[in-house]
Amino acid sequence: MKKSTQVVLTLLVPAMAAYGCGNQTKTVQVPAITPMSQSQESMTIPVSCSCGHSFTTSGNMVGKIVQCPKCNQSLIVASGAQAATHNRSYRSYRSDSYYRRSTYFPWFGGGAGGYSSQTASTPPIASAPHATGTNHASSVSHVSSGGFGGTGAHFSGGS
Amino acid sequence: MRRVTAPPRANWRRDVEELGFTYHTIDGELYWDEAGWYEFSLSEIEEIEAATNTLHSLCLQAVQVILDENRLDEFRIPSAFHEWIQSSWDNEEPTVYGRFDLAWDGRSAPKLMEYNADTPTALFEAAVVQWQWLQSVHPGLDQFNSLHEQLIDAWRYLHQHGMTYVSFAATAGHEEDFGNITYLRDTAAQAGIVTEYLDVSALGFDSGCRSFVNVDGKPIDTVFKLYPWEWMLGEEFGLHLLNSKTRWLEPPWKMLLSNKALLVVLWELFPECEYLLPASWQPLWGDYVRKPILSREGSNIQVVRSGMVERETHGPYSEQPMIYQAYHPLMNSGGHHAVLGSWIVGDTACGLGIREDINPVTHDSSRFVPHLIRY
Repeated sequence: MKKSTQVVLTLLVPAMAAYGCGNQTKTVQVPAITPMSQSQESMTIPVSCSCGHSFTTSGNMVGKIVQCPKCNQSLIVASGAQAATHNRSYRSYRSDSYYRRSTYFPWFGGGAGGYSSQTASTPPIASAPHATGTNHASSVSHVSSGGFGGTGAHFSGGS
Repeated sequence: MRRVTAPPRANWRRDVEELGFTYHTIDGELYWDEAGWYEFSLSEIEEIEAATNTLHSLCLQAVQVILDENRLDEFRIPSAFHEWIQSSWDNEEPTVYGRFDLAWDGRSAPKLMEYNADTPTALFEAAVVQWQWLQSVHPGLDQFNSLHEQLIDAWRYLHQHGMTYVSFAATAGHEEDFGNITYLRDTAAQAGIVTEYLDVSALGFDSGCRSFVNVDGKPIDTVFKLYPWEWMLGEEFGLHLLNSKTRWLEPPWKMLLSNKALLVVLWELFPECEYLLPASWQPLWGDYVRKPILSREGSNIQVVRSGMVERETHGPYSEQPMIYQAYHPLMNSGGHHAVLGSWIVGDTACGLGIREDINPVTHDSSRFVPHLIRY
């Protein structure tokens, strides 16, 4: 039962110290996932809004929010490279035996197998509010903000 | 198993605050209470460990049955999300942790009261604060506690298999939630994962790349949330979940286990299991406890004994469907009622946190009391 190491918390202690100072959000800034290449920065990116208006923006706006000059919708400018990053497969991750179901839970029979694309079984819903952006290979998309929190604004999410 | 009392450390506040445990006192009442602790023998701890591992196994079997028999309506899950949950299970989306709340007095077998499978808290105090207490007060003794190491190992595994960047999201303004999720961030960071924190209200959704995005508009690969699934599904923003590539921890299938309808299914499937109490959708013969299927923090609980309502708590969940579970008393030592929170990380039972109250229904301000193993 014994711990083999001393517990070292380099992130938590300063974060909790800062909490009382109103700094509970965004306490630690992290680097971007996909650094932008020089070639991307020098590109001109075509942007097509769902209102039908088309315009261009500079490559250094990739990943940032721009407003459609016609309808003022907020749009994220995405590059083809970023799209590829987020379409990568997690096959190896899912097929591993971390949960040891093959031995601990024999009804899994050593793995479910037959993994398909991770997105194959997530049906789009036409009626989803705010989900008005294009889903094809467009360089632009629509951002819905506001997030979650309507239910638990006054409650702890913990249990 | 016995409860022991002694004066707390002279500088206990300073000691725990140095760890980052700033919410030891909540609304003027002690939350961390080291004026008492629980002592276990090794065989007793092994009993808790065995019960936890067994219950974890039964829960996974129950998920398979619930999905195979299409019983999600019993859990009041909107039909639009049924296939999405099925996919989460079929894809074996990983789980990091959970906490089984057990009633036990060291005799007979531990009994499952409920499973906090989605957003369990009291993790930091179980993993770190009580360990530091043990090192300070009883350095020669032991504790059922490898939570910290197991969490880092779990994150390390996930990192090695592609989970390199995780956004941690919780509700703003709740210090305990922030402490718990920041502790989890810390363990993830120690495993090499790049992390960020954001409020759940700051999450956006980019329909073009079908991903939730952070405040800078960057697509989020994985979100670790401390915000219950049932709340997310009930909010308008939750519909984006169905059309998103973002992965979630805990995964969607865990919402079946954090729902008290699970207790009915478990009893139906495994009535011979000594760790389970009879549970039903109808009132039981004898003494029972009525619980809303998605209640939290001891709200809207009714205890019925000898045909009379002995105790009832209030809260916001009175309109929910109710389950009925056979009454089983918590350990009562001098008026201190204790519930054992037995932690599982991945598939491994690896820690214990005890909450105590003068009230037999544990609630959000019930005190956390440390424990030790005396060989």
